[in-house]
Amino acid sequence: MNEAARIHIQKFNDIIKYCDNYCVMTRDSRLQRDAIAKLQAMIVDCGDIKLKAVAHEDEEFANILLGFECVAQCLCAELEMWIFLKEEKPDEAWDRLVAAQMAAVDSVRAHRTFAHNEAQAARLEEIERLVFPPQVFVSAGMIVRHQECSICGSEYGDCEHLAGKPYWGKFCYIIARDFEPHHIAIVKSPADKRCRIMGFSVDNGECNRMTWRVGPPQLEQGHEPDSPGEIQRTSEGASDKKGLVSTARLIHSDLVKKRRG
Amino acid sequence: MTTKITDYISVRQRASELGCTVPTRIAILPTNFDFVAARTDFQQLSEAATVKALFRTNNVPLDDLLPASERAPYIQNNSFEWLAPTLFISSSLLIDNQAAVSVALSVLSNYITDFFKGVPGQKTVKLDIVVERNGDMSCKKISYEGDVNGIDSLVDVIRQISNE
Repeated sequence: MNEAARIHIQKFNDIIKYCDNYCVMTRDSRLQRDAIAKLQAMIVDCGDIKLKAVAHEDEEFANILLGFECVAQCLCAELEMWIFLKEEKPDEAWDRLVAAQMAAVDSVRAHRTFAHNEAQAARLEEIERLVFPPQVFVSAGMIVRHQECSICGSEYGDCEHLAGKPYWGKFCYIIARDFEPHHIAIVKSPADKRCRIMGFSVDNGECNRMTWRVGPPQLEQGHEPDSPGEIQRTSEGASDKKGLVSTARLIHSDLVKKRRG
Repeated sequence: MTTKITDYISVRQRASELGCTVPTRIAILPTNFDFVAARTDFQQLSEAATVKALFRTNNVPLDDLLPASERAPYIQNNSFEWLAPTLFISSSLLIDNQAAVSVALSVLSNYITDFFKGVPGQKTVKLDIVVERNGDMSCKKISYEGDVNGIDSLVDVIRQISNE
């Protein structure tokens, strides 16, 4: 690894160490937002440097940068979770927790140097268990006629890329093409814990599973959390947010779009 | 960890009935292979495509039941278990190239280990393997559910069934 790469890594490690300090509930929300802004800038930087690494045919460094993007995304999501909890928005906080958990796992997969982040994934599982009530998860099964490889665009399985593996700073995932719903199942271990039952009917409306508040039925309403720190894509070189989202979530989004479309 | 062994239909006979290529090495069986009316109704697990790519890149001898122009649709389950597709291992492979079975299972367990990297908690794998016996060509199905580390140990179970 060259000197320039070492300097970048040192800089990113310093940002992560600084921001990690704010990943507790008691910290001031304004300072937590500042930390989110720092991490978002770092994600953009990572994306730009990653493009250069790919141009220099340095796949290993590109994957290390992917790992840094995942770590920054993980911390951003966790910080947002604490802010939402303080704002009494547990449903939005849950979504950010799950995003943080997925990003933590992705960082471990991105490059072996992030193997220690398994402890972060375990910590986030503990937060889920201690802070949030147990959830009922739903998994959507689909019949898919074509599976496209996100890396090369060919039929997945005909190429050499494998889902979940990093290639040149991007994860390979399956893009479902020409599909239809097959079944809905209640599962213990969903691919995406954001697919869950949010409320249940009671005599006078719907009871929210997080707050236990009873409100008007919301079954037909979409749930779009207003994130306090959405990643802004500023250039072609900026971080590819798609790469930081689980395969299942992307498929789920496609399905939702198709239903709405 | 549980390993269950049950009777399975003759893959050779079923493949012939449906006008499929009769596999003589390792094959990935569609989920509904044993009861479907026609091969156009086949469905396969999404993970079948991953296994196909894994085996091809690691030179594991693999036969396709369908001609290259046909492809069974995939079932995507979106749960966090790794649902492996059903593998078929022919009697002739078990006679001629038993090492290929060890390689196949080792390649599979390495991939699943990587798949579960960073995932906290219990990591369950479900895997069915249909083994064709040497003598009467009848088939037995091994249903494995448990930790990824247990997959390698299935080689001995496969060998034992094939020689029964």
